[in-house]
Amino acid sequence: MTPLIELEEITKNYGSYRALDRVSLQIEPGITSLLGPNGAGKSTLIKVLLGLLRATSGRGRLLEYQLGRHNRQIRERVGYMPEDDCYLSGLSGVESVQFAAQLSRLPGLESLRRAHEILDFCGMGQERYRTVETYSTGMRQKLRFAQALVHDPPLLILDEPTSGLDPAERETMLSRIKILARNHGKAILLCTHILPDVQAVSDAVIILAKSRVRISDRLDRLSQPTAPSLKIHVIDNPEEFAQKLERAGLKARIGALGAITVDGQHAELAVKIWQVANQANIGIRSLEPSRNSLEEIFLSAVREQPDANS
Amino acid sequence: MPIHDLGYREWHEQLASPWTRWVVIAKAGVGRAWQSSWLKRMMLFAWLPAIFFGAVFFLWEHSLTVKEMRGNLRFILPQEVSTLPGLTATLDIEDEAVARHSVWSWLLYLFLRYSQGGLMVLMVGIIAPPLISQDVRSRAFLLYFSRPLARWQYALGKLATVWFYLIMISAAPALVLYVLGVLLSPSANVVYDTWDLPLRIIAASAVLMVPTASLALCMSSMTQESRYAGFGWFAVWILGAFTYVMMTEIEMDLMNSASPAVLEKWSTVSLYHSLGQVQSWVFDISTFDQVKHAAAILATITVVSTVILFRRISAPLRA
Amino acid sequence: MIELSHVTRLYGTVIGVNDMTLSLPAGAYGLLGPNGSGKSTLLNLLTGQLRPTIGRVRVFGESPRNNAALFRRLGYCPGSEGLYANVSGYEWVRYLSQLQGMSASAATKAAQDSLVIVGMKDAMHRAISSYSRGMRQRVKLAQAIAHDPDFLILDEPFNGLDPIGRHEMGSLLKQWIGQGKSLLLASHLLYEVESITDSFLLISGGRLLASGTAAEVHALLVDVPNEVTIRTNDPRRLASLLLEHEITDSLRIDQNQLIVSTRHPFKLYEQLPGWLAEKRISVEEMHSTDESLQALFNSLLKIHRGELA
Repeated sequence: MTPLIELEEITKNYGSYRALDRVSLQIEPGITSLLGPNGAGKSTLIKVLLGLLRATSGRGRLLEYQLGRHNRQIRERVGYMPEDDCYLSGLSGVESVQFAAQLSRLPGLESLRRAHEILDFCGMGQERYRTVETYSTGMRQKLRFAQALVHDPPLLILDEPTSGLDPAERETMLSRIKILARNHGKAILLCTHILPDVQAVSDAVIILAKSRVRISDRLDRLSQPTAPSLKIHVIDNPEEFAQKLERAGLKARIGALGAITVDGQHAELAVKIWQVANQANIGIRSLEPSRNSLEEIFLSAVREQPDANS
Repeated sequence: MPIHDLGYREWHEQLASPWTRWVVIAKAGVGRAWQSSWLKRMMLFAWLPAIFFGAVFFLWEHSLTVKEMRGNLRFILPQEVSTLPGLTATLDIEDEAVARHSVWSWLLYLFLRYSQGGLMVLMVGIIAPPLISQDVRSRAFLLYFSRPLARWQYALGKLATVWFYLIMISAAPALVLYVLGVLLSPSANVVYDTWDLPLRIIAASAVLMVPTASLALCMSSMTQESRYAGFGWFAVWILGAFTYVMMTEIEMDLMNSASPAVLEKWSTVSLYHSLGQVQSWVFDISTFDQVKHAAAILATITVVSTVILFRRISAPLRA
Repeated sequence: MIELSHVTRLYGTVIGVNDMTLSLPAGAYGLLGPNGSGKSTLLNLLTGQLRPTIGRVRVFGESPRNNAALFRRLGYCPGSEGLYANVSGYEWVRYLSQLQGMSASAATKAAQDSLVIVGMKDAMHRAISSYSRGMRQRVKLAQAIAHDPDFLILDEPFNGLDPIGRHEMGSLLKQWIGQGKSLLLASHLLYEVESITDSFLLISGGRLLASGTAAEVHALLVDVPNEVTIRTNDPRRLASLLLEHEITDSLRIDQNQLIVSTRHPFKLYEQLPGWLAEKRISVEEMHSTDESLQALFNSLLKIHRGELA
């Protein structure tokens, strides 16, 4: 599958400060999370993608359109949901979405009809007829999401879409994001600090730190530990179980919160573990393949030393 | 089929033209401004002078057929106006066609310069200050410019919002007056005699609209609080007019005469009077030489305001 | 340490806290609840900034209202801003320490020490306006611990921090707890709190729904069904096995995954190894989606709203 977006050696300088340093990446349909510490260059990257900033050097394209030359066409095909609380004062919810649709070239009546359709998908009911100033944080976020989606763009850039939302609302927002990616083939660039969200929905992860791309890979590949192992939680007495496993010839060690990690290939290992549990009369609460925690991946990526060229 | 339209639907219809997105912004601005009950009252009020002037048109046209009324006309107009140098000469012209052209020019000029000019200041002061300052405050630029919208379209849309209302109180009633005059006139050649007047009306309205809208929006773009922009707007007019009146009174007192050159010189200080000067040129009451300073001021204001406006629009995005 | 007795706080008609009764010994607690659930009101009641409309609040046995001696044992780290832009972090912490009642020299030393503890040794003399979000949070934390309180109260300290900032703040708080001090951490995101402590208070609408550790609360929710996902090579035989043993009344199969709904999860965990050995079925992966704190809270909120019997 050809990537939807390709950036090659994009650099952006503000005087002597280098905000983006030879950033190259590819984004395919599906959910790509963009992570990085504050000040790493994420918002600069988004502005370059949207054509709001001109890159100092480098090339990029969205579909068949060149960055910097076809900014208008690119913006027609991108839906941007800003992190900041921004709105058009004095308009009601549906009027705001309609206005956004019209700015994206949807014809008059069609834009209103489509605005209603999108607000249905975003779970907004009769409150769409009230002015935006009366909305709560969660509702404003839904509205910004609707505005990003109304013109059916193939690429969505969502900046902290779930921050400030209650857990239930977070889940529904993530569910909508998944539906758009899996069922409608959209590419979604998700910028967030909330690692559990990234874990739950991402196909690919890009980590940006100090203006450079540190990691750009599929999540399932990143999560694979270098050596396969299984992680077990028992009902109680993890130390006893670990000893029994050792005696059965397995390499077991105890980690945080009583989790036992056993090295080895999953399939044969599982059989042995169940046997040991049966013999020792110890109940197993959970058994799953070990995955690298996203937090560890992030911290190690960000703390890498920059190379001599930067 | 039991399932018809469930969940998210894609959209692949025909897009509208990319070059008319400013119309969307203008329409939204016009609708938003119209929500203010003050504005609705103002619009009503703004057409009242048209009724007065309509009556004067009627009276003058009538006086062509009823000769005795000619002399009385002078007494209807206010003292300051009827002593204006060009006007008294006009009212004495014998040739009907030339007289009509002159009198109508004068009436339209007075209408646009004095009555609608003052109302225009009020109206722009109501509409324009929140137009951009609210967008700055609610960080709406992110929403606008992540869409296929160029800055010029945004600026044009906002300007057009102000222009719409200004046309409604300047060109529209003036054109209605013209049509009224045409209908009331007993002469068959009336349109032939006065065909240039509608064009002059439009030009004078443009003079009223363009520098003022640019200046007002420039102020609106410089602050997040629309009341500061409104305050700045009114301050410019009041201070300018006040200075003009003071300085012209002083100078004319010293020189002991009412010299148009003095008036013209000081009009550069007051926007209101600059506008009036250039409008008098549009209606052929003054020569361009007499109004060149005022014209220069207006042009400078328009250009500088527009440039500042553009810069203020771009700034938040680069941040 | 904390005692609330039928405390209600109303702001006109708006409810802040609704008939809350609570008794907490010293320790580390997470105060969890959706936005607008009364967390900030509760914290303000504990620090004496608000007075209860009805009821009584006691911290360390005394009312916190206008109680200077008690304030010295409390440290409060607010969520929203409140920092002065032009002074340096050091000056700000020192000033607030003096407000606490410390002498000038004691405040100087306390400010320096606390700023070093939070990792601001190099930046402490720069103006606060030059600080990043994470650094500002750390300055607020320094101010809260400078006078060495026994009980630290934090209102959404992770707000706006990137994962590094979150990790560092988390370590600082774990260090604090490690010293044996008490802590109350308000947040609307569970995973932030989970890494720091496992004792929590769940509030919603100003009412205290549940408190304790996840295991304790779980044990009390006997009749709430748990969902356990099992990946196995023979889901159908395993399914019939589980049905036979009456461990479940509803299950579904999704390719090679068996998703079982059971009211007796612990019985399942204990018996499964034996059953698998008996029938020679192999299981490669097993976990319960309801184990997480999030799922527990969802169930609690459903019960609270009458959506679950």
